[in-house]
Amino acid sequence: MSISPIRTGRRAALPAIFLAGALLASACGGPPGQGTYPVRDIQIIVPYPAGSSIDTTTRALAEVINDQGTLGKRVQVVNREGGAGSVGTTATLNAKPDGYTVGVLPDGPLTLVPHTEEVSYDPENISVLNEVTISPVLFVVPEDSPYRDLGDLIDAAKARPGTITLGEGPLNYAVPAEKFEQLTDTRFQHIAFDGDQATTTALLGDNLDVGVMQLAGAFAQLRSGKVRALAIASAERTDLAPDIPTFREQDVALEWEAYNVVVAPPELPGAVATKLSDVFGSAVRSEAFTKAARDLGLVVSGAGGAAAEKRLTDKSAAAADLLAPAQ
Amino acid sequence: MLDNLWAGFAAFADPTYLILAVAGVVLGTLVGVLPGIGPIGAMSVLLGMTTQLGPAGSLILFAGIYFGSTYGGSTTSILLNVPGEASSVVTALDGHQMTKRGRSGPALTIAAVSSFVAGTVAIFGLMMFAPWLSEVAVELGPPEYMALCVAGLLLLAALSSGPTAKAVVMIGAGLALGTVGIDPAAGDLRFTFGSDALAEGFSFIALVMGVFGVAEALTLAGGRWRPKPAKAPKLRELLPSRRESREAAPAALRGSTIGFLLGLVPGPAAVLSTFASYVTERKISKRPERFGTGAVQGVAGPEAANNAAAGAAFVPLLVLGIPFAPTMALVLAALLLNGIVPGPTFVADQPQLFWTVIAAMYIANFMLLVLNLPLVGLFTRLLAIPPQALMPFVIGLCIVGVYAEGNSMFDVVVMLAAGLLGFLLRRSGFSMAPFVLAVVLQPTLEVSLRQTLAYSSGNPGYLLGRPVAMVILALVVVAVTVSARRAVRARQRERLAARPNAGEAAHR
Repeated sequence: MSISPIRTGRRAALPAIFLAGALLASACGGPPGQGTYPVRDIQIIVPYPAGSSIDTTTRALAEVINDQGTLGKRVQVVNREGGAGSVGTTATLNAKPDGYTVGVLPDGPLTLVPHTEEVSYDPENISVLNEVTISPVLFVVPEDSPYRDLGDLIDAAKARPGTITLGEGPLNYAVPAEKFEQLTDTRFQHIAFDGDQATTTALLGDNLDVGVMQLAGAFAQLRSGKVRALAIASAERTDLAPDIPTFREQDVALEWEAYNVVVAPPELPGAVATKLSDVFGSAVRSEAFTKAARDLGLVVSGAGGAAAEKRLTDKSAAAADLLAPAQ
Repeated sequence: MLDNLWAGFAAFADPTYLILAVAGVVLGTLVGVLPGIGPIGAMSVLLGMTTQLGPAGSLILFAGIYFGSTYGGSTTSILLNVPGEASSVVTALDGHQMTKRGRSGPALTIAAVSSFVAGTVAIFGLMMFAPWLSEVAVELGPPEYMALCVAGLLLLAALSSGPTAKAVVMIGAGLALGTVGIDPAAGDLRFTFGSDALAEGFSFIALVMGVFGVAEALTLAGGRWRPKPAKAPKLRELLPSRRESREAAPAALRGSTIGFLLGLVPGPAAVLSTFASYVTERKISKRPERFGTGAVQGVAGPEAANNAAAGAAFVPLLVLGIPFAPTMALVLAALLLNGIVPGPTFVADQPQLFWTVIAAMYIANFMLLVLNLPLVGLFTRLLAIPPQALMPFVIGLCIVGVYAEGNSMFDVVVMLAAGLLGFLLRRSGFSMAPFVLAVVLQPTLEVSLRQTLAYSSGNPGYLLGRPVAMVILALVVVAVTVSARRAVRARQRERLAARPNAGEAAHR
């Protein structure tokens, strides 16, 4: 069950429509490159629909950038949803590298999806500008669960292999679940849920023993005390929820975080990249954005392009082993 | 809780919301008055705007359309004997008789006031039930959701008008189309034939706008439509007599209760509740022979019932996230487009939105009362607009709306194709409501089915340990059997009646 590598056969080369759309978007508003960058507004592609968590985050970021005004022009959020993020990612990475199209993307389409699916973009060949937010993965149990810590859970799973239900979901949930089993030599009954909300509902209704969730998705219910987190898969405890011990503290070397990053098409001119990175970086670190993100349960990162790119490469490499076509 | 409701009403201090409420009510009455275009058509055309309106705004607009259309439908039922909506068919029975006796004014007033009473009852019901039901609903797991989806689909097929077999075919088609795109559990691509456009699946909006918006416009244009000129009552003729009011009041209260309870149950509640209320009124009346000749109770009861059912239908939608009627499916779509996923945690997580919706329903009902009675004349005159003038407008709105929603020409093509297909299927007697509901319920049904299979490791005995799911499935079996037997018996009776003299086969 858990992770099934996907053989999609060939997905016909990029339909012209994407290219056309991207070209149109970058062609509108006169010839770029004259005068100092930017001479017109910049669009930020978000690969999920309006109202989703990443959309809310990006819109908060865009508002800060426009308020700060250091860019000289405005940024606009454009939702290009579909294909579990691949549509917006394609639109971002195949746009003209002129600095007028950037994307705020979740890491999944860059680090995980390419291992299981043929994608119409090159995840290796991108310009990473900034890291925006981090959402560590948690193992969450209902309030009245018999498991007080990770040790309890591992013992129980060893005593009754394959019977404790573990709610996972998309790759950013399924992969850490799989990795946990490998690290602890345990086996769970995997149930796929399509996101944190569905997992929460199942936990609240005692229809699930353990849920793999992201901090942002579990945040409200953790605060209300209806669910408990056994462990958080970050390197250190987070100050958003300082009571949750890490996996490492409990002797399981699991670290798994989902990120949102600002990326642009490859071969972005150096000056443009620097400018964008500065503008986005200072917006991410601003007080207004920090507050908005914290309210959503997101850890603000603010890491620069190089650090963010290394994290993406590392995560992709770590996922490669787990997602290798095994079945 | 009253504080919450108060906060909900306070949201209407925002003039945008108030304008949306008025727009929804007027638009709803309009499509209710015009036969052919219904609330589903109107909502589907407007679905493209919902991301701009935000969740509260879209819910307010849609609630206005929903309630407005039931009211508009009864106006034409009473004045012209032309039910604009399925839920006002029963109203025509006695309502139009009252018009013939020169009591059209009181009939309209009674319909409006009864609707208002029902709206009030429904709101109290929602206040009492929704939070409690949310607590219960949290306990429901995948097997129960699977059972509820099955119940919703089969009950719609068995209980709605038209041949059940054709409804089942449409459900099958809807479920099949719903599987195109990314597999919700494993992320596999299904039936995309290498196309990136299909990887996203068929857009629900495009399909609904096609089979309702475009297909309805085509149907309208094809039909000949010469409504009789209606004489709208003057303002001072609207007041019912004391005796009429005395008879109407208890009927409206009974209708409200029946409607509310039926609205909570899966199935086409609004239509069913009007029949249930009418039958009840006739049964408990001391003079049942007056029904069909202009009995006031025959207007008050069903009108209250369909309104209360409409309000109650929001409960399963908001609390379970499962729509049981196509109109509710559109409301769900509007919420999802705004990134809001209703479910057991909705009332607790989004109290502001929940109570704003409740307040919106109440305000919609109130506006219907104050706006529509004086405007009855205007609305009936709208019937004179030739459909040929309306049709290009509706189709144009559909094209703009669907493109604006997804920025995709593919969606426009899907919509037009669905419209053409829907038009042809309609002409052959296939109903589109089961299709739309199936498309909406498909992801929930599939995910809950696969989760159930994962929980049970494929062992059907697992379901025995889920009593709630068993009870729901058992009730579905009973309901389907009863309705099938009734259908068989009705056909036998028809055949018997047809043999001696063909005069009596009035009902089908």
